[in-house]
Amino acid sequence: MNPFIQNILAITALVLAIGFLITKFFLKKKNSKKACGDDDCGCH
Amino acid sequence: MSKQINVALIGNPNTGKTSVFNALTGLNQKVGNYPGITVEKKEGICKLPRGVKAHIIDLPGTYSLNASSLDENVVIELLLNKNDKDFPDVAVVVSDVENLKRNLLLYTQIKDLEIPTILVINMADRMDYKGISLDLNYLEERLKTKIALVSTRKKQGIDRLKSLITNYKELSINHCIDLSEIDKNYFENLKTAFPNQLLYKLWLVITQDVNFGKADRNEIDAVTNFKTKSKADLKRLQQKETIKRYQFINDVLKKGQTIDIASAKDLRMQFDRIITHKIWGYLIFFVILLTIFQAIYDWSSVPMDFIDKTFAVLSEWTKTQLPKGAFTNLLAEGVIPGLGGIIIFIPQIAFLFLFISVLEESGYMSRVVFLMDRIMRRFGLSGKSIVPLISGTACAIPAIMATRNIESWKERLITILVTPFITCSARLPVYLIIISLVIPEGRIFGLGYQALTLMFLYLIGFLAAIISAYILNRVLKIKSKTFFVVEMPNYKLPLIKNVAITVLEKTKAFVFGAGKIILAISIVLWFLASYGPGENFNDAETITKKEYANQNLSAEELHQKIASHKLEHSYIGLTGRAIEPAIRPLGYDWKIGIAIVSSFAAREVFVGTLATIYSVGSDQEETIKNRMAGEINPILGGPLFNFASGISLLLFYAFAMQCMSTLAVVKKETNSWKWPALQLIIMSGFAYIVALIAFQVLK
Repeated sequence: MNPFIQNILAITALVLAIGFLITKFFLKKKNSKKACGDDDCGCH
Repeated sequence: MSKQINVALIGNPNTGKTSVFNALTGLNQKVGNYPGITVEKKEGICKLPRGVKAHIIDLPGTYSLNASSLDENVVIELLLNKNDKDFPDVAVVVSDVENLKRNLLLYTQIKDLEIPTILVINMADRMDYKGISLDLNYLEERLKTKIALVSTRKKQGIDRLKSLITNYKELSINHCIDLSEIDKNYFENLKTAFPNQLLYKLWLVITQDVNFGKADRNEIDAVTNFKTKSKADLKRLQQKETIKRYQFINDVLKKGQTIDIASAKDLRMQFDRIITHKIWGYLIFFVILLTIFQAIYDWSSVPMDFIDKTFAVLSEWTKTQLPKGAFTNLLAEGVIPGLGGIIIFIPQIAFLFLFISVLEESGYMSRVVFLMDRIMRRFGLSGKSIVPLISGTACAIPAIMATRNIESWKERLITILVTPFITCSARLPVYLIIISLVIPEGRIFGLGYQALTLMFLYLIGFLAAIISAYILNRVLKIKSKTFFVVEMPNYKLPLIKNVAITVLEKTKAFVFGAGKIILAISIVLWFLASYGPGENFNDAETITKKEYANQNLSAEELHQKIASHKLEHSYIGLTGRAIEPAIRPLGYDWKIGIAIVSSFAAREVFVGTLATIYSVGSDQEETIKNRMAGEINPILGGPLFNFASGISLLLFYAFAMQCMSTLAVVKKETNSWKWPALQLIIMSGFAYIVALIAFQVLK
């Protein structure tokens, strides 16, 4: 396999990996109002 | 288009509701014996006769419609809100044949909401054993419903249940009790003030001591011509209602149910006396724990060695057989060792969950909850905290979510804060690899040192949790009170299908949940370890050759020196060296430092990271364990993973808050960054100090 293609594949893998990690840890879903107890936690 | 109806599956905890759900939908799901295990809403589709489809919701277990916790609110909110898209066309109330009297309280409440209701009497296979006989026609007539006598264990009665659901329109919606019998004046006034509303629904909205998301109490408060009673009066009326319901149930069961005590065989009491005994109970639990940890080691060593060797061969094969280049190196040195670092632990994880699942299925786990309640009370926690703490052995995230079952905010907050101390399955790979490197394989009284070390780590996690709970209970100035009721389900022979599903699901969740993160981190780490800035990295070969020109190194040795030089001056090497001063006093080198930092994403990433770092530049076919065993401490000399640094690492992972996802869940559940920030600082600070002391004392 051409080294150029190998580099392209490797960089694609890197971009996908970074994209996955950012989505997983930094783009969070909206908080649910139901996620807390029935008093004192200030979300009601 | 086929018609779809909404079916709500409702019942007391431990009535086998989830087993009925599995039997109807074919969806596989965990069935446990913890009180209130069904915390989340579970849905499934069931195909019924005549092309009808049923959308089935498995609602959280509840004893009545008088909600006292967040998951019980889910049930009441759904049943009171006709506009909810999931509002049931028909409710299926699941009861246990042995606890019919108690289970029928909930049934009569739902019936009075005028929802078509089917009564399932489950665990029918135990009727002969317990000497119970039922007059179903009489029960159907008095309870104004249709009954399905079901045994999910023997797969009986499910077809009848499906047929009853299909024909739900034929069910009566007549009430079981007349509310005006409780307090004529009050209920007549209520009816006059809200002529278009269902009386029992109004009564429930008025009396619930909870916050409703959907069923709005303000509507009632806004009507000025109706004066509601004081809290104490309402409680008194609620009690009268419960008494009325039990009078009705007693009357129905007097003729509808016969229990022949002479023919009942019951060993349960004798078992319980031993298993929950204040000395024997703890001793039995301790012996069971010892057996589990020993078995985890003994049974999984062969498959683990096989997996380790297979990945080493696969990595070598990839390197030699695929065309040379960056992508081949990424696969051979990054992806394969990284994934191997997690897959190797499948046998041990599977065996751990096999044992936990058998203990849950058999009914023993509820006895453990009862036993532990005695200890927990002394540390300011209730028995309800034990459920999240035991769940924490799998993962802290669902365990923290399970604290929603605890009514007292103070106890809930303390449980949330201390749960991450419990040894979760993500710590297991770290423990196992370090133990195998630094603890000898010998045995004492038939028990391996390695198994005992693992058990010790589980115990110190538990001790750290309850001691912190004790301190927090003293420090936090939040006033609240709570009560704890635990139901002891019958002892059952675990269903192989349920155990197999649990093991499969937990193992799958472990591998795929962590696997994707490990794969991504392995790729990033490989890049950071394979490239670097400046001359030191780019001219590594020239510099190394010059440095060792006077030493007679073989080609292989020289190759290793070049690879080592490159790694040290790669991006990851430079980062690792920057943090090395902070971790050196703990006995770690920069490679371990990188593994600790990356394992903040998930603890199990630690092993995968080291496997990737040690693989970069290495041409040898080596297992992960051998690579780690061969590492030399650059400062002190000798093996990097020795007794002192190994114990230090084990203790660090036992106490450190090394999990981003857990912190995110704590933030979500407490609605504040204050608590996760405190957790991170205190736990990780404590872990650092303990690890430091351990290394300095043992080195």
